[in-house]
Amino acid sequence: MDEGSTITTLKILIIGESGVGKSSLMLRFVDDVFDPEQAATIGVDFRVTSMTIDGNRVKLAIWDTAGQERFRTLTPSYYRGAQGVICVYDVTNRSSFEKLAHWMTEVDTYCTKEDAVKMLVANKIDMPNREVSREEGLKFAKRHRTLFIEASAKTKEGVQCTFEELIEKIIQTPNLWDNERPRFVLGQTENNGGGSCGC
Amino acid sequence: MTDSDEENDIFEINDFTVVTPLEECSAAVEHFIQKWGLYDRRPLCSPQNWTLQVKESCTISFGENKLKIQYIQPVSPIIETKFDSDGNDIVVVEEHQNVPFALVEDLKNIKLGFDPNDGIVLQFGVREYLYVTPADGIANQITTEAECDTILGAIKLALHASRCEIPVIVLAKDGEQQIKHGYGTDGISSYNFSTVSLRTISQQHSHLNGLMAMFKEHINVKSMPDDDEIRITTRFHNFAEIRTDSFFRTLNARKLTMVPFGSYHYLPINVISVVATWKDFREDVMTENESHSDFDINHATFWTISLEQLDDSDKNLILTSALKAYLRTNEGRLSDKTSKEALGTFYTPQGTTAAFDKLTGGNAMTLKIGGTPISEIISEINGPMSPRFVNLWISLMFGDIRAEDLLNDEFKQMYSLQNRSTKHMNDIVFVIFEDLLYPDHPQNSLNTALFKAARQPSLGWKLAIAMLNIQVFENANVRSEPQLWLEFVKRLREKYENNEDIDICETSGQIDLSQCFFAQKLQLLQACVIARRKRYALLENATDVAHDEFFDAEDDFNESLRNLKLEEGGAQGRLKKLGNAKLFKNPNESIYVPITQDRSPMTEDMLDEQTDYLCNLNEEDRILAQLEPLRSDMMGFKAANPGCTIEDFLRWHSPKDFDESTGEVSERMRIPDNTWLKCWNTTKPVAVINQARLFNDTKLAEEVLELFENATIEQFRKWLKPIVFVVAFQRVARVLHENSVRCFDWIQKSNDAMRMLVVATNSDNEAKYAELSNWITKSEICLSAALHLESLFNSVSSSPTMLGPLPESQPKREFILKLVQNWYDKLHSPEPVDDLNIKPQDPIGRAVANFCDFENQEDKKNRIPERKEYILNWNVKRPSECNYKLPQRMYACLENEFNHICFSLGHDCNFNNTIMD
Repeated sequence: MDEGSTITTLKILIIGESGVGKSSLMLRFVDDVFDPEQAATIGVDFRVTSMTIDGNRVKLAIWDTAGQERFRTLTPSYYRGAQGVICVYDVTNRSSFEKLAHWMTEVDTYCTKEDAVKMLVANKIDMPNREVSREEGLKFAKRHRTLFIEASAKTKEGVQCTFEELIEKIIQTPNLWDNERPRFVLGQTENNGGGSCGC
Repeated sequence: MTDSDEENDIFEINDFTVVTPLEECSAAVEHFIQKWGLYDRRPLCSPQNWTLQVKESCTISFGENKLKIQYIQPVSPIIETKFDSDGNDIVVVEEHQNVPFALVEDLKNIKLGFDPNDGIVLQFGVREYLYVTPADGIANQITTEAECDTILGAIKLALHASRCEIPVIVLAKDGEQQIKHGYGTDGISSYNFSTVSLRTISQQHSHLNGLMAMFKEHINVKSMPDDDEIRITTRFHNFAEIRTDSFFRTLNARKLTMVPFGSYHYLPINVISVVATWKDFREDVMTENESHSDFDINHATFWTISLEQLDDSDKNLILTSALKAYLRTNEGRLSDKTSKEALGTFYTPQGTTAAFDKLTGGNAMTLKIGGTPISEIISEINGPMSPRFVNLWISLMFGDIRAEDLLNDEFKQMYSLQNRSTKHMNDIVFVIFEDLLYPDHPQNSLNTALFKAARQPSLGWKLAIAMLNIQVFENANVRSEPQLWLEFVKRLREKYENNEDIDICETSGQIDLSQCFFAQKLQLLQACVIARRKRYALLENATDVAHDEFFDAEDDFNESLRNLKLEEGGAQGRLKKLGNAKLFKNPNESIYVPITQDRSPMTEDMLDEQTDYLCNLNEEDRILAQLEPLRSDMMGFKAANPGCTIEDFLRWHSPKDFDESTGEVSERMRIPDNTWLKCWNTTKPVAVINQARLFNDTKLAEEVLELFENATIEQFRKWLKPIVFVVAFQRVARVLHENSVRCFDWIQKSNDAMRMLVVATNSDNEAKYAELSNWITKSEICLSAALHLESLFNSVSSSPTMLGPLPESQPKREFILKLVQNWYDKLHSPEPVDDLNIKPQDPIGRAVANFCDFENQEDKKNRIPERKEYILNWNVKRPSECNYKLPQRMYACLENEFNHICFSLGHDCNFNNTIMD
């Protein structure tokens, strides 16, 4: 694959309760910075970057959303066309973990791509006052069939990995991103199915 | 072997520079026989299961002529496929033993009968042969029998020289006057193949007895008492016409709510071909001469049944015809025109004053929830269809229950004007399909959520059905489609202006982005209606003034402010208490959640625009661009909570940023000059009713309505396309599942079609739509034919001439489906189809005979088969009684002006076989 050209553009959405570190996670990944005084997001913020996974260069459009209830009336539109959803909670804030079920319902309701890849990120693991254990996070991720990782936007731990794992998983699901060539993909299955039927 | 050695020696001293074309040709043929390894004994393929394959092919010259030689061999079907150690496929087929002169074995095998479809096998009874034809077709045709014999002569030389036992057939003339000559030998006996083609055949040879005499004459041996009998197989082709009159669809209101399906004017099939075969009988069993025939079709060994399509019946399919405009949305000469343009003189623009009167006059008090009175509709459109009729149709779509009866009255009137009785019920197929699909049918086994279209039974879904109906509506013309569209849009406007729900089935005002563009736009319109109702309600609550003075809050800011009902302490726009929370600076005062504004809902196109816009801004501008909703909330909050601080606001708006236990605002909110603080500090207390609108429903609704009004025909077809294909698919799937001839195979295929539809609607994939349309056409024609056949079978049960057990439903269904499947495959696939054979005396056979009128005694005498075929076989010693018995064969095909007789006659040329016994 040519390093210069990207095979596709992926939309990645970051969701989760207010103050769990969604923006910090995105900024750490895209700009490799961490601002302890990161302002609360208003509406939605975007970053565009690109990365190489298994030799494939992909462009990423990362959507960072505000966590406050009042900003979420446009929620369905954020989910539109997203191939990956990162759902963040704060390990030092139990309520942000307890709200996850609500977020998962939202993902299932509004994702327009049926097999969009979901990822659960436990953020702020550098903090001493942990309230949610790794096991609890794992259990939840397992039940909701998501990827799971513990990370810290502050110390960088797990951040790169979060995005790499997610993108890799998306790339392995061509239905998600290869919609420019649906005929090609489906044509293959037709040939395998035996062409004798006249239907 | 010495013979051939000698020959070779002689050949070698020849001067090849002066070889004749004949010798050259012969040498070429010999070369290929050697190359392809066709000399010596040949394997004998099983007589049961085989197909013919062209194994080799080459071109040789004969003088100036180019000849194509094909080697044709019967092959057994593959038993299994294995993999060898390298992973390559190994095909396992039945093993065949080599036999001397396989040609004789083939000829002896009378079981070959009429089974083969290939001409040569049928005509001469050989399966393995070399076929010589002119290489360039007509230009190089071998015109005379003499030429043909010369070529054959050259080939004979080669056959003998290479000891090739495979017969060679040379095609001299093709078509009506077919001439084929051939030769085959194993050195001991030899066969000559010849054809006779006649435009007219004398009366005395046009029947079995005459043909038998001809056969014997050709064989020209004296009959001996110990001779085998001649064995005969015959097959007579009969075509039975099925009575159908042309018919009209008789419509009613209910049918307009269904996707049209089936055939119209004519039924798709009107001829059944019944080929009656009498298999392998002795010469004296059946008699057929000029005055008498023993061949009674009802007592044949078996029938081979197939359907015939007399003309292109695809054009008589309703749904297929209706879909055409959606498969190619620019179809039709007016498709690039807007509806108003397309309507031409039928459209008279009227002032918009009436509309605006309604706009300003409407408010919460005068909301009419019921339907718009039909008589009040002012029509700008007066044709081509009756405006009243179109408006009733649209009322039906919008859920006005009165419309059904009124519409049926219109139909009655329409038909009485045309002098057509509503009882005109020749439309068998249409009657059969009735009662299958209703818009109010709540169950839907199909997961329509996967399609990017409109949900059943939403307004968009109903419109798609109406638009399909208009395409095939009998009284419609090319301008009816824009008329229906424009009236529909007009009704949308009326609904909006009267603050009525746009779609009684989707009143939430939520925009579902997984649905198609058109469905989203209708949802947006509904959202506008809801927003306006809310606005009015708010104003009514907040003010004492007459409603109509408060149409637009912005314009009336000052006046409304003066008239506002103030809450205690000058608070405005309170919704409810925020739990037990008290103001940060005033613990005696509860915090109130303010009435807030809704954000503007967005359809996918607006969303894309918005995203593009936001993406192109720098971070600061992007925040500012999204600040209005926050500012609106802050204004509302301040108005509802006089004396409040940002701490109070955060407790409601972003509780995470306020620590209830310490009473502290989070670190990030304390950053000096952060957007939240800045915004808070610059915001005045303004209750929602006095705020600028975040969701400008008036503007958005007007945009949608104008977009619809000014759409070209092509444009609105494109919008409706996904829904149209979904409703078409649903209809077909429904008929597949619910009719009496449902077939598992076909239902299976509908799953493939559903997957096509998912891709097509989600990616607007033209190729998938085309594929889907083919499937719909196939289903429509096959189902129409199957249901028609079923009704024929059903009619038999009440026939007085039908005796004995009636066909049982399962075998009957299988028979019908197989018949229809074969018919379709024959028309659309080059692969040969398996014959469908039945016994004439079985219940199914007798039912077929009944509706084909075969049992009618009068008819029987007059019935002359379209084509008669005979195969005669005789094992006889030839040329003299001293020789071995050899199978002799004659095939005759008699059909009006095309009569062919083919002989395969062998004689033993080795006189050493002269054995007296």
